[in-house]
Amino acid sequence: MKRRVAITGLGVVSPLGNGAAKYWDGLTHGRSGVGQIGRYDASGLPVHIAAEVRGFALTDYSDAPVVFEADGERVTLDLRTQYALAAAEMAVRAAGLERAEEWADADLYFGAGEGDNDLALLSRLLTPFSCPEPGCDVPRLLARSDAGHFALHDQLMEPTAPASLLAARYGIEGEVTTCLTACAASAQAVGEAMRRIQAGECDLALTGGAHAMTGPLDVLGFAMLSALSSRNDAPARASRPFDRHRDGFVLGEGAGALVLEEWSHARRRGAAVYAELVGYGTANDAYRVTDMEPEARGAAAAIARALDDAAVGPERIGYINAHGTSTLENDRAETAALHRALGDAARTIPVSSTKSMTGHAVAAAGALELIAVVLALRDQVVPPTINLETRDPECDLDYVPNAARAHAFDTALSNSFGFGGQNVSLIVRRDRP
Amino acid sequence: MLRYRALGWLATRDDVEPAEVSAPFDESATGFVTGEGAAVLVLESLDHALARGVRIHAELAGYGAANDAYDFMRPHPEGRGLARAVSRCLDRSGLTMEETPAVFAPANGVPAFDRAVASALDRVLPPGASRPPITATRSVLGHTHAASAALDCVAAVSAIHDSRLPPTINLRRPIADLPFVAGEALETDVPAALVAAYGFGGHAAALVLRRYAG
Repeated sequence: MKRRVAITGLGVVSPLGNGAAKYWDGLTHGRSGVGQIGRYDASGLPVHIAAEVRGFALTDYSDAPVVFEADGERVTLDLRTQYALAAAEMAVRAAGLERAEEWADADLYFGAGEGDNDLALLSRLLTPFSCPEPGCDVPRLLARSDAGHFALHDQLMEPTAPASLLAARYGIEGEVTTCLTACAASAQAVGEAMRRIQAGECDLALTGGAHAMTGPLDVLGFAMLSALSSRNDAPARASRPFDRHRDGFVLGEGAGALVLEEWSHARRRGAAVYAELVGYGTANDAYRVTDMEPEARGAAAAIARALDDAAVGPERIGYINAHGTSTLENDRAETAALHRALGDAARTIPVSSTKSMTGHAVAAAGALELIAVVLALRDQVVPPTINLETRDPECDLDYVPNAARAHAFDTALSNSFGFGGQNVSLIVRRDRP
Repeated sequence: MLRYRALGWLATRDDVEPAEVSAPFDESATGFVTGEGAAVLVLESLDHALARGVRIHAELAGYGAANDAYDFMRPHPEGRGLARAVSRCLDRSGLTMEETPAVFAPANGVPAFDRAVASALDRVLPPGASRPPITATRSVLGHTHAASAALDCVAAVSAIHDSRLPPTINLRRPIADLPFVAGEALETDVPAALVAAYGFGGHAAALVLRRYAG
């Protein structure tokens, strides 16, 4: 018998605002978080729009130090790690566990990727060593006074840095793991943490994910892959999942954090339960690194496994938060996957992509979207897919176009599909009073 | 290389031959020698393997993971996370008293790190005569980072099969009073092996592999 898993804490850093309330307000009002890139001069890039987190200061949310010190070097934490620390603090406070000694036995599963590099530092360090001679003069590089600073900065870019810093901050001495499955990473982290609690490996887990792939190299790289929308002159309309005139995704950033607890553990301490996490399914396309398998077999398998795990049939699903990136390929393949996995039920279930508003927060996306689902269940309101003006004829589901919808439902599905064919689906159930 | 060197983790000795630089658990160690590689294992449920009639190299009998929850840049001085991971792993492995596992330790030559590993092993391994032999393959392989524990698992399978433990080379002045396999391989029955892994950021994991006896 699987143990039940309660969601008792939420934390959000997003382009729509920070904190679950502002995030949800933006989502239900159909606001776009996309704009011209403001953090650096992006005018020379082929794409210069993104969904940036604006007006963020870690000190507004947490007393965690924003500067990391070691061996006399001081490095400002990258945005990804700052977002992680802020969202985690919100989630831990929401759960009322900010000083709990039981974190020592908890687990931490976190989705992340590399940190956002300090390009100014990198170029200052490497400029004297660029062409004409290829290679790198290591002794000269090491002799520089800022070599130690660079080394610490580089170490803090590691994908595992947010999880390590969170473990140290809350005293989490159990299993601490970073999930690296790209756009599915934080959904995978939530699913793995859920499994640990179900199996009796722990009673309490901190999970979620953080990413800030909005820097110049990120934008340039995805633009060169033709993955991004180039609707530079209409940023708020650029992310348009399932619309016939969509032309790619918009990079976003942020963090989503959740506190998960074994059901009776939450009840015993009188914690407010947002929702119950009931299903997790994961499967791989085993196809190609940069493309989805055209018939979306892996995505459909992940959905089917999540349904099996939750022991519910497709007819029980009342809302689907789609991966819905706004690329030509994803939105068609995901629609096919929903048909394949859900059969006739797919036609009647509202499906929306909140990436139409938040952009694609990559490793943070799955956790942010799961939080949207939890809030949708709480308020019985389904957030919209904005910018859906002319539906792609090959996308034939109910995508909740442009306006939030009041909707009575008790079980919902959230999809996250990553580069590399990594597919994750999670199922959440409303905690009925 | 630049990063590891600047952080002071890379061995810096130029007074000995390159092959003598990687000296886990030795007083002379000044850091790790960076290495590289990959190791891959195929795992099956026992029934699945038996039904296929394939050779079973070993049984994976236990797993435990934990974190120091201490410092991103240095291990807990007593190897708190590693001790916990090893304890969890041994608790779950169901080994008998006769199956005390030989230890593949994650010592890599960074002095603070090796001391943390030695401290953790000293606390969690059985005392006295039943204390198992301990070896550190990073003395031979260098530090292969994310590949290191998988490489140790393959080494452990071979040790169980051949009844021989690979040595910790370059170990002349041990930093701790533990039964290290120093200098030469040790011919001994290896009914089981514990592969311990410990990463920067306080990440620790441990695995027990056991001879499959049918």
